[in-house]
Amino acid sequence: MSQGEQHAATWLEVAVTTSAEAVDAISEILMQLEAGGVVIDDPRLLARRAAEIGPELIDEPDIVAAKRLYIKDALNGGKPDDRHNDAPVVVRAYLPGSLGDYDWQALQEQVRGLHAVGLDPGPALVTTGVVSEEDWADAWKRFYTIQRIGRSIVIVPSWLEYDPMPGDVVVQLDPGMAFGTGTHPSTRLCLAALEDFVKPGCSVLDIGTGSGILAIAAAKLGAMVTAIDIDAGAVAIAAENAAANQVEEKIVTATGTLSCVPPEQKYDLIVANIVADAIIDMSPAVVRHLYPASRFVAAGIVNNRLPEVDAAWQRAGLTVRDSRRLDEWICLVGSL
Amino acid sequence: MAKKITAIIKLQCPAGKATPAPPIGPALGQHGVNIMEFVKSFNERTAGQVGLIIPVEITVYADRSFTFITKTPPAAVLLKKAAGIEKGSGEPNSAKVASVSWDQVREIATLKMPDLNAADVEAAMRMVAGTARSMGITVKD
Repeated sequence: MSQGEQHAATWLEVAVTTSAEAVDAISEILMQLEAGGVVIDDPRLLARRAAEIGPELIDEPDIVAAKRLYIKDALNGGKPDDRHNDAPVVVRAYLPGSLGDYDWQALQEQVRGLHAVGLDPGPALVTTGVVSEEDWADAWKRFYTIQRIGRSIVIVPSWLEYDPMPGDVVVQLDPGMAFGTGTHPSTRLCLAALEDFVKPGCSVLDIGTGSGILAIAAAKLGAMVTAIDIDAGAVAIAAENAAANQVEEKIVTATGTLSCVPPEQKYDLIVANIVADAIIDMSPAVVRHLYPASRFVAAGIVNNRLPEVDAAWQRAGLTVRDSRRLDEWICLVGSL
Repeated sequence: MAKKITAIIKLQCPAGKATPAPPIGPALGQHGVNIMEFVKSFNERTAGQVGLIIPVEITVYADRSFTFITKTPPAAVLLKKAAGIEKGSGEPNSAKVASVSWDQVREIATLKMPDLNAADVEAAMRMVAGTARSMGITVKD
């Protein structure tokens, strides 16, 4: 990934246009080329959904193909027709390196050769191209807007203007590729918890800071914050966001895990918005950094993982004081 | 009023190990989905299945929020498991690496029926058997 830090990284895109029945075989062929996964463009997916929920709820510019299939299925008594293999499926994979690194002729022959094993490869068309991270990394920003969370926190994308109202705690954010935009339920739950527990002058440790959204909100609520992340890229983004919010003097950032925090250092509040496994692993160590009156806010927990986190907290000597839920996500507030 | 759907994206990616790199980045980015939020949710939901490739169907709504459901592993992955091999053959016509029985093919076809575009289990079995042969796995009576 060293290349990605200098310029936008590029990948080879290979697209195989095939029939529905050959999709799994083609995916496997592409996975053998060390693709990190595949994308399957299949108009039947929208057609099936249209049949379930009604075509008026589908709002897709390229719906024509899907609607045509939907109508065909409707004529077929609503049953998906095994034979409409005339609607091709495109299987895409993304590979490292350059075009010359791969034998495209061999791939083409492998795809056409599926006839021999009793699979119809459909059009069996193999196309290649080069895509750059710039092409997709920022596309979601068009839909990222100002969000009001809790009583007073307002998350403002750094490229938008916002006129604050009295009492607003404004966090300007450009999350880049780091996690934490305020749209994820677990981040919203953490922000609301920070608003409840952070008092001016208190100390906060943010584990897995990502974009720095929680650290900045805590600093704006008056805390002195230490923000850590195992991803150096995220730490750099968090530091940039802290500076953009003029709270860089209230936030110390560092790359690493909880073990890089001095063992005797204690905090009034520790927040970790990561995933259940990480919360479970760190709980025994977190305890050492809490005062008797401190709070530990842990999120990123999907509801079916709650019993495991509960058990880990009991073993670590943590007591659950509050459990907050949004959609399938849970945020626990605990203390010694 | 239910939210309008703008896209349904189907991916196959490693359980618990998804990253914002391709294929997830371009597949989701072009539809305006926040890539990191999907990655976090997917990894947390599939943490118990690490080591498997999992198909996932993501529904994208007009406001760019999304929901997703994970499916049973691809036929190729189930076939490798049934045959007890790590990898299929690079030259499936000449180099056979393993074999499975028609009962195993039927089992996989039945499991995959909801995801396959097959009219009946026989059609699904034909697809699974073809996938097996394409990987150098022979199907035996």
